[in-house]
Amino acid sequence: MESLLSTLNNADNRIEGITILSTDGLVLACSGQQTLDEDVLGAMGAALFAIGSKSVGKLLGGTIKHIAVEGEQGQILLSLLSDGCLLVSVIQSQNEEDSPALLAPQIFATKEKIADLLIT
Amino acid sequence: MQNVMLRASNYVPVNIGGLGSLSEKPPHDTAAMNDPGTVNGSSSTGVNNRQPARNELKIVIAGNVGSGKTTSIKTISEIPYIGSEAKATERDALHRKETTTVSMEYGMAHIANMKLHLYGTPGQRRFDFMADILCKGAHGMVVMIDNGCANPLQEIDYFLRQHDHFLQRHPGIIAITHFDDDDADTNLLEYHAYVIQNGFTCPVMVADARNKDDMQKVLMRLLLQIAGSKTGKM
Repeated sequence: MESLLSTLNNADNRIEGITILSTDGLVLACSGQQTLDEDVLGAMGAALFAIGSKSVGKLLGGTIKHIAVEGEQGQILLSLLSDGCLLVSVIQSQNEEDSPALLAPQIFATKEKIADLLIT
Repeated sequence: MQNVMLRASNYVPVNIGGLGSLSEKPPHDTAAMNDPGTVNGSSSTGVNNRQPARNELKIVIAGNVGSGKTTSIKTISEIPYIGSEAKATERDALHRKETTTVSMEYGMAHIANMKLHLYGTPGQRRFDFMADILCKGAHGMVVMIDNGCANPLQEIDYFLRQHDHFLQRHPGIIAITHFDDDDADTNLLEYHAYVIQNGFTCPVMVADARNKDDMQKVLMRLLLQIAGSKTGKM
């Protein structure tokens, strides 16, 4: 699982960090720059996901698939891996025209592989 | 019912059953008026021109893991409780709880003609940043402490220091829960002594989070503190 994370992390230098965490914010695996505080990433990822998940349930119905939070300097992408596990990616934009969302297919492909590993 | 004049976030005196009036005091937190996250904020787009209500208050419920924050909101809320509980991974560290709050919880209750918006914070320390977010625009705080935890005075110290800045400007109440637990050996006098010695002025009360009357008493006491423009710290 960690090798999948590092492969994705090394595939594009815009990916600052990628983490698997429990829905209550405990970091299970992490790959990324040392500057990224993984405990903060875990807690903030869990909080974001909980709010998003509750909003989807109340306002749309069904279960949540992923959340993208976009800022001036990049994007945070949260995806549900399995019951109780999340994949959180922190992606930095390199310039104003750069769209971190373009990395989403690559991240989702890795997410599927990790989800399969979690099931087995 | 007691009669209190309350000053809500729009600074218009609000009469709660006619008990008395507030002394004039400058607004604590003017930013709260424009904060879209606050309950009284109105939209800047002009689409939703809801005027700030005069009888609504935002109350934050903070405290340590297992102190009963979620239970108290579930007990007192008049609307279905909105929570963000996740399956607890570290159950041993969380008093064997099945679930734990990870972002916030919300409930609403009326007390003394005031509509109280109750926001619960997560108890685990890694979510402390959520408490700071939830405190924006709040009028008062209830700090709940589990008397049966390993070191309740250390916990009270942590939460009062964490919210020191808020309590210098707003009132707070300390609600001690699990007071009669077999493994609890801190008495009420020790809590009072601790609070006074550290410059806080928050009243200390014993409450059962499952008991609606108890929680209403805690919130009523907080309303009286708000009405008297008290703060939680000298």
